[in-house]
Amino acid sequence: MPRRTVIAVLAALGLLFVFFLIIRHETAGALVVYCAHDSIYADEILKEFEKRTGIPVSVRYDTEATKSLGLTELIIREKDAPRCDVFWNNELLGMLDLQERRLLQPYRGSGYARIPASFKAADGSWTGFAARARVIIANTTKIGTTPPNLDSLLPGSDRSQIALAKPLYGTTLTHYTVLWQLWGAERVKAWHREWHEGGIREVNGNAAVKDLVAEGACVAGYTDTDDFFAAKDAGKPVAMHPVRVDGGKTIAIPNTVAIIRGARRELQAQALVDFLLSEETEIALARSKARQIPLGDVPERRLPAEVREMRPWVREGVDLTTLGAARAECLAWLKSQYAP
Amino acid sequence: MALGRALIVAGLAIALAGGLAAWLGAQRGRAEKWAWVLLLAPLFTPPLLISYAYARVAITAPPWGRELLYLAVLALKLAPVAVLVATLLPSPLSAAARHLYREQARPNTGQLLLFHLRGAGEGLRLGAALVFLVAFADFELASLWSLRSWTVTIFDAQVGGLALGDTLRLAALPLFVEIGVLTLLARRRPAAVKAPPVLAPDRRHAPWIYLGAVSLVVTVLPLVLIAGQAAAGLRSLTEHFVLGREIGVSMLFAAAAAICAQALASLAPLRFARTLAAPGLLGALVLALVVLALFQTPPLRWAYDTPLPLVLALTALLLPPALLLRALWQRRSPALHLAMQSAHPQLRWHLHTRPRALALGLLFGWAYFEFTASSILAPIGFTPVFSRLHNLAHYGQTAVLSAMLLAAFVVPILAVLLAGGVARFSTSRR
Repeated sequence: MPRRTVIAVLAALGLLFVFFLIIRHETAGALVVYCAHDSIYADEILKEFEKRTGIPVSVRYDTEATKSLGLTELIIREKDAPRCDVFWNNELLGMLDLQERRLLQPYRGSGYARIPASFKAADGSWTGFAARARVIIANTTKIGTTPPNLDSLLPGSDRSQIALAKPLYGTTLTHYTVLWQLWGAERVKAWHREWHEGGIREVNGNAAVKDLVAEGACVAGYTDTDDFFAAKDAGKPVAMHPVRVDGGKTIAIPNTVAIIRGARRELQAQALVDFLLSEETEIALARSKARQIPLGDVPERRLPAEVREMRPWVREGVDLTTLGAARAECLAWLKSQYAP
Repeated sequence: MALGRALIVAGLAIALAGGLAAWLGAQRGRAEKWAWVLLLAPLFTPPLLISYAYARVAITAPPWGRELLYLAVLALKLAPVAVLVATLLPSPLSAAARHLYREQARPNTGQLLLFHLRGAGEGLRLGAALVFLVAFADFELASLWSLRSWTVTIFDAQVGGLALGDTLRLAALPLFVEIGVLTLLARRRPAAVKAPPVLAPDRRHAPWIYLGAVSLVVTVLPLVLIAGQAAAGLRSLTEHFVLGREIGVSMLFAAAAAICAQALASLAPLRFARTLAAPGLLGALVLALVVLALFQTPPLRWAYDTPLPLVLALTALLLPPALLLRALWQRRSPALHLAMQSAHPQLRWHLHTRPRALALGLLFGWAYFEFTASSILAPIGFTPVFSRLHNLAHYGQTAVLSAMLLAAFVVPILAVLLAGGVARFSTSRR
């Protein structure tokens, strides 16, 4: 290679290095947030926080396929040298795991005070806000609008027209854990086996469940309210019905937020936690396309009609704070089932 | 399953490669240029663009239909690799020799196939092996279309929190297959790249129809579908452009890796080519996991959360195509020899600088569109655009997302064209 080319290559690499340094410098003092909530919704909230407080935020999002579990495990792996300051999880059970491992820094600020006791840790390790609910999404051109019973929707043991996300992650894991707690391990295992033998369409995430049903490839499936609204907004022929487990209880899954023990920017972290738990953020999330359901007191008139209709589902929800042990057992079993 | 798929894809690619390479070698002037563009377009079309555009087809198809679509797209996308290798290492049998064998020996179909296989030379084996390795390690298309594959399982296990050592243990069997193929490749004599044979002009229409159809299905149609949807989302995107930083980050990573790969490929002696190419041929997933493991060891942990691991992984991934492209531009020809003797800037640009600039542009594109290694290795605050878009694509098709995808696709192409224009201008002024 001629000398001139070598110099050009070195100069180009030097220039790139300078660019990297500039970006690095920009993000060096930033509050590090691990966020399992969908980036299309979380971005706006975090940008608003940056605008108001002047505190720069550097976010690591999770992948859709492994919602929340990936970040929870990452925090566990990094426990000796934590990089994350604030963990915005989109569910609760991972947070319970982190609490049990004593990886969360308790904080009870202004936001904590406005959230009902059933959605927060007594010691302030984590606090819930803005919930979703597990729902059955149904294709109305295929099965109408009557709430279906998925166990008897198709003839015999056929489940090939029903969709479910892989239960290793996210809210489907929470769904399985609730059943594990209510039914016991053996019944869940039998139910899981029966559905798989019936040819259930198992996909990577709740969004894929929504797509299968919205496009008519499946007649119904289990997903979350935010995914349902994505299909509805796209004009798809879909209806939703809350999942009701034993005793008619629903499964309402809040977002949760916590400060990581050993966080390097604790004051800024507290500011973000208060911001996320504020009435304003809950209203913003309720008005977003995800239509998340506020947990704290908010003026009803400021909520969209669809969210107002869903608020009772939160009150009727199963208590998720007692599911820590069931989650560990259920997840261990699921991992054994999905091991290659 | 991935093994069976990869074997089928390699078989299909090889079936296409020989004839197409000979036809390509017989093209001249503008026809040659267009033939190369049509050949390489599917290879360089980002998997996310294809999988997103055909998402509805894939999701509503029955499992066998999805499998068929996946196999077809993979084969059409990777066949150019085999053609490229066959172009570099053409069969030692001349067309006349083949004709003579057919006329004199009157072989049956099996004998004829065996004759072609034996006479195809190293190009066929190398091409088959490369296509096999790339198809076997595919993750991106399989992931977005919810297909079962070892790569999807291992990626999910890794980001789902399985300890790195356990994940690598899971990958042991596929790794064994990959290393086996690489070892078979390494045991063969290093091939000398041949000068392009002088062939009589070939005016058959069938190869044009094939290349046009493949480009249409793999490249043009996805772009048209996405552009059609994007029109409604462009306004919203321009009012609230959210991907600027991610695109910038991706371009930085891609530029750094492309420059490193091209420099290494140009500087390294040919005898080290296979060694240099080997890590990249393991596939992005395995490579990224190994790099991650390396940077979690105490001596390298200081660089764990820096751009270094990703630049390193991308460079390794680019080395196989960089070495192939180097082989392509270094083929000896009288015209190139004359150009090297001449001080005429235009001639040097056309015969010497332009092929290298093109190669650099292609490598840049390859790295820019990469998703797997970026998802695993990108440090906080440096999210590459296709990692972000891959995640968003799981929410299904929307006008804004289509507009984002289009913007992410078009911006680097414009940047490469601009850089190419500047390079050409500066060369012509010397």
